[in-house]
Amino acid sequence: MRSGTSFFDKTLFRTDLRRYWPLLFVYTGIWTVMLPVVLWAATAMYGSAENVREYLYTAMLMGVYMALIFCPLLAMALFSYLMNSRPVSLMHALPVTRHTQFCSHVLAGLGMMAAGKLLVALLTLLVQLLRGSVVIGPLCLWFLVVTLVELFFFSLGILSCMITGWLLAAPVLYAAANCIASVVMVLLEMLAGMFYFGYASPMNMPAVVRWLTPVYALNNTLGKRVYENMDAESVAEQGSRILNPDAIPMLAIYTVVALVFLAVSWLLYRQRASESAGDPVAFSWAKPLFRCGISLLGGLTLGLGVYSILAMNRSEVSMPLLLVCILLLGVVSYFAAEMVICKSFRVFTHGWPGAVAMILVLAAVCFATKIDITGYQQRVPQAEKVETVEINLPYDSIYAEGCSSPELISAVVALHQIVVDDPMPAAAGEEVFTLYLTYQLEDGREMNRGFKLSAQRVREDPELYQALVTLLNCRELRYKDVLGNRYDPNKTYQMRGGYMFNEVEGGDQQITAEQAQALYEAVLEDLANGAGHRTPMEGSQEQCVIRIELDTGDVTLWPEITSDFTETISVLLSLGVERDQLFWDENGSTLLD
Amino acid sequence: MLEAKQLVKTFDGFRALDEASLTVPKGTVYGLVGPNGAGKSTIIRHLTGIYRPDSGSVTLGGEEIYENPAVKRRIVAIGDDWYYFPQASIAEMAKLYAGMYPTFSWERYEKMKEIFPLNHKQMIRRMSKGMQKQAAFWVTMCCMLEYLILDEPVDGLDPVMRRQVWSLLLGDVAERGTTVLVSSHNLRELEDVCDHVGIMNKGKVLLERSLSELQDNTVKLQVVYPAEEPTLPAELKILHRSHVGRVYTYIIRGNSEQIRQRMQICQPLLLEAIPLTLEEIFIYEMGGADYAVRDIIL
Repeated sequence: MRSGTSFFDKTLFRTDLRRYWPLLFVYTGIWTVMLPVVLWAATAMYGSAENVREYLYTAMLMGVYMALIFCPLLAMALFSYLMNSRPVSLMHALPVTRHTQFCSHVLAGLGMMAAGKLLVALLTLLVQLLRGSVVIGPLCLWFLVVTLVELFFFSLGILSCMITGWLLAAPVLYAAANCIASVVMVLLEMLAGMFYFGYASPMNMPAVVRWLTPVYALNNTLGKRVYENMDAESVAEQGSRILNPDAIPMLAIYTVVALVFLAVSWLLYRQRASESAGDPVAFSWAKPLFRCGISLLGGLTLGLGVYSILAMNRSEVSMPLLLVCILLLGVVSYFAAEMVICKSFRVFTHGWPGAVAMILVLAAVCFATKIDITGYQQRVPQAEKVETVEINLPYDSIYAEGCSSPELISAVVALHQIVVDDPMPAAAGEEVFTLYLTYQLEDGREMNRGFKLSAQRVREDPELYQALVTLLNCRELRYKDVLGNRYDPNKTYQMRGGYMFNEVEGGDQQITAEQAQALYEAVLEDLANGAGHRTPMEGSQEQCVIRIELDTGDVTLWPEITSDFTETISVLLSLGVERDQLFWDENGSTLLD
Repeated sequence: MLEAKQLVKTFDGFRALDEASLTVPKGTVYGLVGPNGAGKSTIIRHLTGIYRPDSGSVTLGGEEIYENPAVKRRIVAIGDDWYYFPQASIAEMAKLYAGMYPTFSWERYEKMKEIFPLNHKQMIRRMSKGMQKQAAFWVTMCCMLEYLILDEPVDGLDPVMRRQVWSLLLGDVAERGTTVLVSSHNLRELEDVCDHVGIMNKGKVLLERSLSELQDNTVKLQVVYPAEEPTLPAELKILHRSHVGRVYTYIIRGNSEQIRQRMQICQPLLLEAIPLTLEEIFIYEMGGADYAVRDIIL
């Protein structure tokens, strides 16, 4: 009859503590310096509770990096016996089940980190008491947040140890797990950038990549400064710093993932054969994954790297050269992975079928990208499914975000369609007309495009040119062009005052709310009368000497007027601006009589 | 009774154990012998619950050993390369074993200080190979368990210490009924201590018997004929034949008395049965398994 065994063995726990206390000592020592010691020094002069609170939130962010480094080290130390046949023979001959061994080591690791942090927390509390600024809540929160972050990285470290039987491979796997999503994204972006006309990197890291890069996600979330009253106008009114509300679901999700990692590690440990000690990949089913993964990543990373060196002076993508680079280095990576798995250089005779398969896969990836299997290049959103659009036309100094008028969206979509219907990217050395578009779609997705067109073609293609004229003279874009990107034409603004700056002679003049309102209304009237009409690729020669600043209380407007803003010019003249001071051309001559 | 049945273990396609079966009766000293790579260490790692068999079973008293702490608490092993924690002393390793085996005797641990001339607080890795082996015996013999599994146990020990260790082991067998399974290449030594022997080759247990049965079952005859060697009775299973002058030496499988009677047909001038050593049994049995000393001149 088998005996029912507990999940915990105190002898193993004690042995772990006895063996790995130096790691705990260093870990606790660093935290002691980073928290109570620094807090003691920092609060010597400004020991307010707010400063202590602020520092404790900063310490949460430090916890991410401490966990990132120490957790895998601890995991590797605790499970290092799995990597060598002698210690694994001792440990697995002991009268404890693998279940008990696993749980005991995991609890020992978590217990060690918790004990270290508890000591640091008590010392921090002592410092707070001595400085007379006690903040218990954030201190407890620091303990909790760092514990959860540690749980995640510790479980990832353990999972890395379970997959391999080679100690050196464990940190490599751990590092790979932390950054593989970002690396894959960069590789795909590089490929897409080469082949897709109009490809633009997403403005923000895609959510899936962000979640799969935990350091980045936790750093951004825990590092964000959030206060009790974020809408307050002054810093003083913002209140105390609090935990970023986004951190709570994020930590909860990572904690669940950590528990899943631990469960998977537990299953792997139970399945793991003792004789796998010393094998770079401990499970036979994982070996093909390892070979293919290394081959794919190696082929793409190294292949693209070598290609970018060899094709340094090429303006167009050379598919044959790119294929040679990627396939060759994919095969090299495949055999390198096979050599690591077999611990032998003699892998060529039995490894070639796999290498051929990888050549086919890599070639398929390249060709699929080349022929745009997903239809990326031709994809144009339907105007009615676009919520807002961001337009960036550096050539015409146009930048407008959050544009939502149906007229403008239709114009953008029409322009986009014309561009993709007849793609004509700028050749090397040719003048470039760049068009960046970012759509926010109704379903919450974002669609980015960046076209580098031939400026010559834009001038000579009547359809394209006319589409650009239509876009530039859409009401919303014209208003944003003149009044600033943050201006919303559908909103009513009440001016509170403003300034007029003479940019040539210097000096400024404050204007009253009524004067500012008069100026604003004059600008609107001019715009309604068709002032500010734009022609693509023809920058204005006019330079308004007077820079106007209108304060609405909500946003500040900086109307940029041209000589056709007659009503606005009249108001400016009535405010005492000399007529001949209003506009200067590039040669310094007045433009107005 | 410690038992392995139809045990199969494959490493990367290499069949290290090929339906190996072995039975260690309680209270015996069982010697496991075999050439290098025969699978002795592999079968021992199964018997100690380190390896999981691909197929077959490994039991103690009918209960599976793998992942069964209650059964494993009755077995302690010293591998061919006993592992100790890098910073550990004998005392610290003893604490680990004491925590794992409830029968661990600190009283015996103290007595062992007189037997093994070692500093029990010194780090084991600072000790010589022979001293490390002594440390292994010191710690494991304090566990006071029913089953002791030893893989090349006295390698590296000096002759006095070898004798000392065997004396301790046999003392435990006599006083406490400890069952010992010992794998070794030192057949002369095993012959002195074992009462059961198993011979392994190529992942199989070729034969296992009590030493007396084994010796009774194989006969070494020295025969002198009046003239040339006659044709021997066909029913005799001759494992080996050699001669020096008119003195012929035969190793024949079978009962000594029956073989002597058969040989009378040949009318020998002299017919003498000489007891076989374990080494001779091993060599001639392995010769039958296509493993023998070859006369190769380099």
